[in-house]
Amino acid sequence: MERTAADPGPVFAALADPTRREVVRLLAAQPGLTASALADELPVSRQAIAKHLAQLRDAGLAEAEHTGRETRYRLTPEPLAGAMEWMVAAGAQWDTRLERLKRRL
Amino acid sequence: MELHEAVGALRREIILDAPRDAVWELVAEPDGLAGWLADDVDLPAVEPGAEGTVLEGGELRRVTIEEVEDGRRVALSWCAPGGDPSLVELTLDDAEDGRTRMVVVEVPLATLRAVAVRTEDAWAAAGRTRGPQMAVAA
Repeated sequence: MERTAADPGPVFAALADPTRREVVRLLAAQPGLTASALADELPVSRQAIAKHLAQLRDAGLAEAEHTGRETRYRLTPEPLAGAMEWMVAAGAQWDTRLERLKRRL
Repeated sequence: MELHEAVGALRREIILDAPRDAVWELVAEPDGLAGWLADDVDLPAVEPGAEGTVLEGGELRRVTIEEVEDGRRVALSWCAPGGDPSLVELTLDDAEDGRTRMVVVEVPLATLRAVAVRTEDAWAAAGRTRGPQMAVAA
């Protein structure tokens, strides 16, 4: 699924949850972890991990790799760059707006 | 923790060298917003439910006023062409020496929906503390 800088919602939404941020942190450190391995590292069930992984995949932040009977996950962080671009662009616009407001007072 | 910290939304804070009622005039009237929020503001009023457009740098955004708390806060949603809608909250507070603090928060709407879902997750997590084998309700 393609994401652009103008469409940051799904990425921010995916990262709005602290457990998902932990999943992202673990996958960044150890690419190729399985859902069970992630569940061992975090105080949540394997089913909950599976749900979080599905949301990360929907946001384009993770992909699954099927090897034999195992499914391994790795990060695909490109959409993060889009979300950061939105943040930087929107931030610059607000800096401009607030400067204009200051001058009007 | 504030919402914007939890979700990584955009936040700006500025101290304005004017009393709050003077700043409010530039927030609570379409003519006040024009010239700083955007080049042009086409809104019937700054009232909940009011819909219109703002033009900024040649880009036209659809805008809806969501909430107004007199003298203190305006929340609006807007959407750039081809963009994701976001919620903007402008909050005014009295600062020292008759000045005014304005806090701006902008959050993509999809993020807010995710935070609402997270509350349900929190309940599920609370239930799960009773036993590690307990399955999470979908």
